[in-house]
Amino acid sequence: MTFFTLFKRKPVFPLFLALLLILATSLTAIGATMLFGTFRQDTQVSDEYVTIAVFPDYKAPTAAEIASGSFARRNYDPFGAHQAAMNSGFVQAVDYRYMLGAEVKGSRAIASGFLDPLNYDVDFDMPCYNMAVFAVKCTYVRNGETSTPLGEIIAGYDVTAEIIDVVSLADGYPDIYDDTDLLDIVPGEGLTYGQASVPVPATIHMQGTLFTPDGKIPFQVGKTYLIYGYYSDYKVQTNYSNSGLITGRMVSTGRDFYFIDYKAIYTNSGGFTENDEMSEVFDAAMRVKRGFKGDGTAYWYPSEEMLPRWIEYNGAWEDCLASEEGTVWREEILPLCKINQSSATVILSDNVQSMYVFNTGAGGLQDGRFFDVSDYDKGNKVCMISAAYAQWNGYKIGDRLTLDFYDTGSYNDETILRGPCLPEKKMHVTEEYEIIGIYTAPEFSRGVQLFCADTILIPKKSVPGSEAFPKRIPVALLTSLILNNGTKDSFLSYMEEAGQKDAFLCFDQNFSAAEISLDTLIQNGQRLLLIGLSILVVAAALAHFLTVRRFAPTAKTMRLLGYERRIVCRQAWSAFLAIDAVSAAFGVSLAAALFSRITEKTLSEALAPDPIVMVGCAAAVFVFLGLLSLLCAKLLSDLPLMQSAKKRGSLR
Amino acid sequence: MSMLQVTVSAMMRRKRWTILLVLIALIETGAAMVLCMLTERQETALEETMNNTTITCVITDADGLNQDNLRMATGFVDLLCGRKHEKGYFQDEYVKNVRAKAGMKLFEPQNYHLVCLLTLDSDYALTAVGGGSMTLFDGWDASVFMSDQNVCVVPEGFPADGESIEVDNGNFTVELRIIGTHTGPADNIYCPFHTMDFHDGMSYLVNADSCSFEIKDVRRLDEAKESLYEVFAKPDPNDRSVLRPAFGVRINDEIYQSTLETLKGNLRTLHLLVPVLLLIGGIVGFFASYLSTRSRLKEYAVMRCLGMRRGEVLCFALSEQLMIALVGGILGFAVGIAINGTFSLRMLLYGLGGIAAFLIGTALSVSRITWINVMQLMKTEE
Repeated sequence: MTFFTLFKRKPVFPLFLALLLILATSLTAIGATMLFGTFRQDTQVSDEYVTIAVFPDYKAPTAAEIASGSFARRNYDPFGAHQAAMNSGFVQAVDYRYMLGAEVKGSRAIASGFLDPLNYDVDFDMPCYNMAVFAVKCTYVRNGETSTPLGEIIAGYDVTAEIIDVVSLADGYPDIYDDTDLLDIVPGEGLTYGQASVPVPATIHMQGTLFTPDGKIPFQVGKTYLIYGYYSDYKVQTNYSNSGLITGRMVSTGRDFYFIDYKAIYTNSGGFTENDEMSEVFDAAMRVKRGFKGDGTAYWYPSEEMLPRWIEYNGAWEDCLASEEGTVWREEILPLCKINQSSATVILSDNVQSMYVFNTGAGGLQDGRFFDVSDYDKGNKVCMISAAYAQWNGYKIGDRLTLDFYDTGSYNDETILRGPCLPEKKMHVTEEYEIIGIYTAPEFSRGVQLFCADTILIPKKSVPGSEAFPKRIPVALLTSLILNNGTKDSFLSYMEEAGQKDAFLCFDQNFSAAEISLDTLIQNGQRLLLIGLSILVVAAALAHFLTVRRFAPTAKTMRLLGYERRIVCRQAWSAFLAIDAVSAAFGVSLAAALFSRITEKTLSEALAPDPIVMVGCAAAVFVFLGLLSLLCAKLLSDLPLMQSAKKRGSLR
Repeated sequence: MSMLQVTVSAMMRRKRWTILLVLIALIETGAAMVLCMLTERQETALEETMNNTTITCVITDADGLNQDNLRMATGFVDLLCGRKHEKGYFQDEYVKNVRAKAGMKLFEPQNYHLVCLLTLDSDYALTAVGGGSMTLFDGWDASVFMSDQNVCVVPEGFPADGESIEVDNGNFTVELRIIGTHTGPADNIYCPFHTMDFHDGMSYLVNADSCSFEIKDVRRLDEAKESLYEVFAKPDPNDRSVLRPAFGVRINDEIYQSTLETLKGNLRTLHLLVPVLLLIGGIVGFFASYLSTRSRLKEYAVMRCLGMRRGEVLCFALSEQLMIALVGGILGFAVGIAINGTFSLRMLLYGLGGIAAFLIGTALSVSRITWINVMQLMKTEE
């Protein structure tokens, strides 16, 4: 206990030494905290970025390309390219998405013209939202060839019928039976109310390929029918004038018409114009527009295996539906129409931000949040919907949607269609999802990487049995390779070497820009730790040197008094260790306190001291100081006892 | 002997102490300079990150429901492109790479669309991911789409009779010279965005279907946002205010903002570490110098006995510390420059700060020798 007695008698010296070591330790601990903090920051920032590789759109070669032989560049093998990518070592994960259909209880489906009939495009609505039932009276029948929506020419017939009533049609479609005053707007002559420029639409055109068992056309002029199929409006060609007037020409008839485009007036005037007259004009014009679009509607039948699609009736169609004959219509067809008219496309994903649209900023979050890791891992029942869908149905964040899933299949087409929700496709899985995010994205645009505003996004694991869904590798929208951040260029080089040049396009959300700072962040952390360590080494050397000087006479006296070397060494070491322990503990505590204060001030939570790092740092410092102390204690115990006073003084 | 000689001689007599103190001054100065270098490196990296960051903005309707069927007056596009400078309306100070597309169905040639583009990537179908491409004839390049020339690019295999085609959209007829072919949608004929302006300066004969752009300088993001939100709304389907703009702009800056916040937090921490380092340096200097002078109290007492005044003794002790700080500082600068590989005025200031902190610490420490009781000290020594 001799060395401790020395401490007790003159406590200022060891106290100062301890203070010196405490300060050095605290600097080292700050360096270590900073380094580990920057690692955390690096991970935190990197996790926000998703680097993806996706298939571009490989269009079928044109005739000119085939003729010139240049189509080879588009002759690609998605499976081969995918396999090569998986072998590259750069792929962190793959988001194999899957597309389902779902009846969303109590909702209205988004058809392409739901908000603005001018945006109507049946390609986006087929073959689910446009499922409809009409009551019609046949006025014209013609035998002949007909073309299906897929362009096939088959034996069939044309039927023109008068629409008696719309029995079932999606809300998103214009009300083609809206019998209101029409408006005629003639340039230079102003507006004329009550005078229709075209007749009210009241007819429907049907193309059929199904005949009765005896080979006859199932429709006869003058008879009334309930018909079921996929409804399609004619497109309207429109042009704008600088006054906001829209002039147009019906594709089917070539007739000209005019009406006001409210939106054009609204926007071109640079803001909202409160004008009752204008609102009235707009309302009337919109009705006219709808009227036009209802004129001469084309009509196609579902496939032959489907339910009965026409029924002749007499009297009121309601009576027909109520009769035994109408059981199938009442119990199967109309509910099926209702399901499809309230259905939506559902995309199951393990990483929504790996989708091209969200990754590149073509789409974005408008409200709420994206799914987090826990949502994906646990398969939480949460969903994201489009802003259009939310507004159309009055949904907001926190609302719950009940989804009844159908495995409708999907197509790798420009419009990415899914099939209709049919009984045989029903998965018998009904789940309730909470809306946590509302996104905006191209509403109805064509492209293999684009999806429509009807799409609900959910975590893949939230659907039971989702692991068994097949991988749709060639479907560009449904497959994204998630690359390790910062490996975009290396991946592309690898793919080029693997003979798959241009097979993938990579996007990294600007990670390459952030990477510059992140690298510096880590390097700075390392440098800071090095500074701390170098200060600790110097301070420790200084402190131990001074202590050795102080202990030397005592150690020598002890040895002269007959104490064994090991006893002197042990006692000196324990005295040193006391200072070391105090220094390590208080130094790290001081660093934790100081750094917590700094990080609180700078709002850098990631840099806040981590208890594990702090304890580790204290232990490491203590071990280092302890070893140094052992060295010093050994030196003290080995002091030569026979040297001259002058030489002895060398340690003073 | 001059004061300097006395000081140097005293320092030389106590080599070990002198070396230790010089070492402390060196570490203090060097550490301050390295910390400065770390800060500068981080700032430079942040600058580079900002220079290389692209923030994409997409025009939507005011509710944020629609971004590809906008039917927006092309005046808004002109505003973004800076074509309305003479009218005092412009946003090109804040935005760049404006992409806009406007499409219209044509009566002639029948079944074709005329698509007006501001840049080639304004149409998804012509982007790399869209799979389409454009081949312009010799003498033409993509910059033609920024102009208002009456030219067009037709689909491959387009049945053209001569070098130009006449397009009719029902309202007007324009003759367009064919300057290339494309592999995008087969029913699209592409022309420069302003071709249909009729050069009347009003430019709303054609309405833009979609429009996007990038922030010119992300450092001025807040300014840019403020300016953009004067013209465009922040998309919000729940906002029913009558006077809000007709179109909205979605600024995709979430990831950038979050990254920037992290990087700036780190930088702020580095900045705050400087005073901490200086404080620690000052305290270390104080203690080291305290220990150094403690063992020399008798020496100072003798000086006092020889008739030196308190001030002179203090001056002597201080000059010794100053000398140590000077030597340590110079070595520290050398080490700092060697580690950093560069030198800047800011580093010099940080280094000087380090020396100053050390000096303040040592000055406080040596000042106590002016309070020593010579009689008591000498008596104790006897």
